[in-house]
Amino acid sequence: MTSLLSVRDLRTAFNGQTVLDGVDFDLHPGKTLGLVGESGSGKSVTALSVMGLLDRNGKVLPGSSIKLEGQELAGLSERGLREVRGKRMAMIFQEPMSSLNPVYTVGDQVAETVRKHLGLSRRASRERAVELLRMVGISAPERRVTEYPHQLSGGMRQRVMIAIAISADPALLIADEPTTALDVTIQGQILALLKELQERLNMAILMITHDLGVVSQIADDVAVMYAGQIIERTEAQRLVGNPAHPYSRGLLASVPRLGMDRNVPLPSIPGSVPSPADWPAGCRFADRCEFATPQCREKPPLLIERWPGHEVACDHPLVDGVPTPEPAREVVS
Amino acid sequence: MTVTEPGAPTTGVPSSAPLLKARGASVEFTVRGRRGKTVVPAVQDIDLDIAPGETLGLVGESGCGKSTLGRALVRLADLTRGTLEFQGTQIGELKGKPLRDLRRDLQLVFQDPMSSLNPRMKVRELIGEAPLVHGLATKDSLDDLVATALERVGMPRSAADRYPHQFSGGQRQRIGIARALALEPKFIVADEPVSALDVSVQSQVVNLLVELQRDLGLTYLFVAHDLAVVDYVSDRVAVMYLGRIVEIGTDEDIRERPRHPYTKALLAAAPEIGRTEAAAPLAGDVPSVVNPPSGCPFRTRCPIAEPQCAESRPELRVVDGHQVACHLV
Ligand SMILES: Nc1ncnc2c1ncn2[C@@H]1O[C@H](COP(=O)(O)OP(=O)(O)OP(=O)(O)O)[C@@H](O)[C@H]1O
Ligand SMILES: Nc1ncnc2c1ncn2[C@@H]1O[C@H](COP(=O)(O)OP(=O)(O)OP(=O)(O)O)[C@@H](O)[C@H]1O
Ligand code: SF4
Ligand SMILES: [Mg+2]
Ligand SMILES: [Mg+2]
Repeated sequence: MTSLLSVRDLRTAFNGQTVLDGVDFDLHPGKTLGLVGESGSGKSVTALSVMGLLDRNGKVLPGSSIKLEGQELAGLSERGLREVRGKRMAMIFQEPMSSLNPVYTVGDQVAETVRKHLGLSRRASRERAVELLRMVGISAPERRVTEYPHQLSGGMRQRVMIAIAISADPALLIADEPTTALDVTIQGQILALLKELQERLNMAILMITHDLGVVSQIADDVAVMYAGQIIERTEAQRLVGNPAHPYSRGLLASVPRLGMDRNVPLPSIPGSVPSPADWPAGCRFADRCEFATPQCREKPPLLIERWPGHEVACDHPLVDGVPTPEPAREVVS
Repeated sequence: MTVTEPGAPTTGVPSSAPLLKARGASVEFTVRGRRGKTVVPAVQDIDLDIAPGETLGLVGESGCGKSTLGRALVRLADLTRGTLEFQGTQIGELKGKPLRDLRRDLQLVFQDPMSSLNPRMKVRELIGEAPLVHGLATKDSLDDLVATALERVGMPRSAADRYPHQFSGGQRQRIGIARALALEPKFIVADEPVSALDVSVQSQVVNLLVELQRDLGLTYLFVAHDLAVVDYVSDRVAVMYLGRIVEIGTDEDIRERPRHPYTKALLAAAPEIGRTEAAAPLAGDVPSVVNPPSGCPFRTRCPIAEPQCAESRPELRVVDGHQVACHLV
C-alpha cells in the first residue's frame, strides 16, 4: 500500500536546540495513526512540522523528508505550503477557542475558509457552511451560523473547527489532542464524529493523544514517541496487547483501570521524561528502564522492524514481557 | 435497625462519628454582568458525612461544582445555605482567629502545582511559611521541619534551596503535597491532584497519596475526572451533576452496580485500553447551572427519561444498597 504521508528522519530544532531527532512514520490513505507519548516528547512539534506551522524560531533541519501524496513538503516555500495546507491537509487543536476569531460569527468563519479554498461565491460558500455544520452534527445550523464562538460550548466549538478543517475535503486530518479539554461524555461524541467523517470522506487521521484508551478505540496503527523519537510502531491492538519497548509497556501498565486493588501500588515508571537539553547519549529511556544494560547507555538503539509490521527502538525488545537477552541485531520471526 | 437523624445518609457511611458533616450545603456565586446580576447555584443541598480515615472520591463533568464543594468543605468558599461540622463543631460560620486556627486541620492540594506555588519563593519558604505562622516551627527548627516534609514525599533535602520552576510537574506536585502536610492536617481536599501529570508520573503521585494516608491516618476528598483513578483511591464515590450529588456509594457499588443513567454513561464513555468498540455516546450538551432543566437535572440528556422526569426532581434514595437520585430506578 502506498503511503499518503511519509515522514523520514524528521529533525526539528528551536533556536538551535534539537527537539525532534529523526522521526519516521507512514500513514496510509483513509487510516488512523495514533501518535502517543508523554508531555514534551515532540508530538505537537511533529504535527506542526508536517503542517509547516512552526513558530519563527523553529526550523525543520536539512535532510528531513515529509512527503504528502508524493510531494516533498520539507523545504517548500510558504507559498507552496499554502497550496497544500487547508486543502490536502488540515489540523485541529486541543483548544478550539484559540483558533477561532472571537469577533466573527461561526458562519462567517466557516464560509471564509470555504471561499478561500474552493473559490465559491459569497452566497454559495454561505450555503456550504450550513451544510458543513450539519455534517459535523450541529443542530439547527441555519441559526448557529449567526452565533459567536463564545456562545458555544467546548464540544460545539470543536465541531466548528472540524467543519473548517474538512471544508476542502483534505486527504489528511491532523488532530492534536482534540478531546483532551472536553468532558468524557463529550469526548465520545467527538471521537464518533471523527470516525464517521473519516469513512465518509476517506480521510486519513493523525491522532495525537496521550490517552492510550483513545488510541485503542480509534487508531489502526500507533507510534509511541519518547524524547523526540519514535520508539515503537505497530498495529494498535498489537501494541496494547504485546508492547515490545519497555517504555511502551511501562506506559500501558501505568494507566489505572477500574477495579484495581488499592493495597497494591499502581505500576509506575521511576523518574521523569528528560528535556531535550538533558537527553542521554545512548538509549534515552535507559535511566528509567529496568532492563537497561551498559550497552544501552552507550549506543542509541535504532528503530528496527523486529517482527513483520512491528518496529522497536530497543536492543532488548520484550517478548511476552521478557527482554531479549543478547542485542538482537537481526530480524527475529 | 439504626436510628438516623433526618437528612442523614443512610447507607455506605462508616459507623464511626463523621470527621466532617455537611447538611443542605449550598454555594451560590453572584456574578455582575452587563445585564445585571446572575446567581450561579454552583453547589446545592449537599448532605455528606465523611468518616475519619476515609477517602471520598468525587467525579462529574466540568463545571458541575466539584471544586466549589471541595473549597466549601475546607472553608475556602462560604456556604450560602446549610451547615458544616468538623469533629462535632459547627464551622460554617467561623471567622477571624478561630477560622485561621481551623485551617491547620483542613488543607487543599491543587491540580496545577505551578500556579499554586509562588514562583519567587524557594521550596524552604513555600513549605515553611504556614508552620511558622501557626507556631509549629521556629526559625531554628524550620530546616528540620522542611527536610522531614520533603523526605516524606520522596524528595531530597537539597530541594529546599531551589525554586518551583526547577522541578518537573510530578516533583512540583510532591512539593505541593509536602506543603499541605507540613501543618499536619486531618482532612485534605485533593482537587485533580494528578490530572496535569503524565501517566507514568501520575501513578507515582497516586501511590504517594495512598501511602501517606495509611501512615498518617489522613482523610481525603479526592476530586478527579478519571473514574479509574477515583475508583482506585476511594472507599466511597460521589457522582455530581449540575451542582448536586446524583449517586453515592462504595467504590464497588459505583463500579459494579451503577444505577443512575449518568453514572452508567460516565462508565461507558471512558475509553478503555483494548476496547475497540465505543459505547454510543450520550447525546447533547451539559446544560448551564444558571438555567437548569426543570425536574431532574439530567433529563435533557438522559436516554431513559419519561415525562415525570420533567415534573419533579428526584431526591437521593436507597437503591441496591446505595443512594441514587433518579425516578426510574
Ligand atoms: N515554540 C517553541 N519554542 C521552543 N521550544 C519548543 C516550542 N514548542 C515546543 N518546544 C519544545 O519541543 C519539545 C517538544 O514539544 P511538543 O510540544 O511537541 O511536546 P508534546 O509531545 O506535544 O507535549 P504535550 O503532550 O505536552 O502537548 C519540548 O521540549 C518543548 O519544550
Ligand atoms: N468564583 C466564582 N464566581 C462565579 N462563578 C463561579 C466561581 N467559581 C466557580 N463558579 C461557577 O460555579 C460552577 C461550578 O464550578 P466548579 O469550579 O466548582 O466546577 P468543577 O466541577 O470543579 O469543574 P472542573 O471540572 O472544570 O474543575 C461553574 O458554573 C463555575 O463557572
Ligand atoms: S430521573 Fe429521569 S431523567 Fe433523571 S436520570 Fe432518572 S430517568 Fe433520567
Ligand atoms: Mg502537544
Ligand atoms: Mg474543578
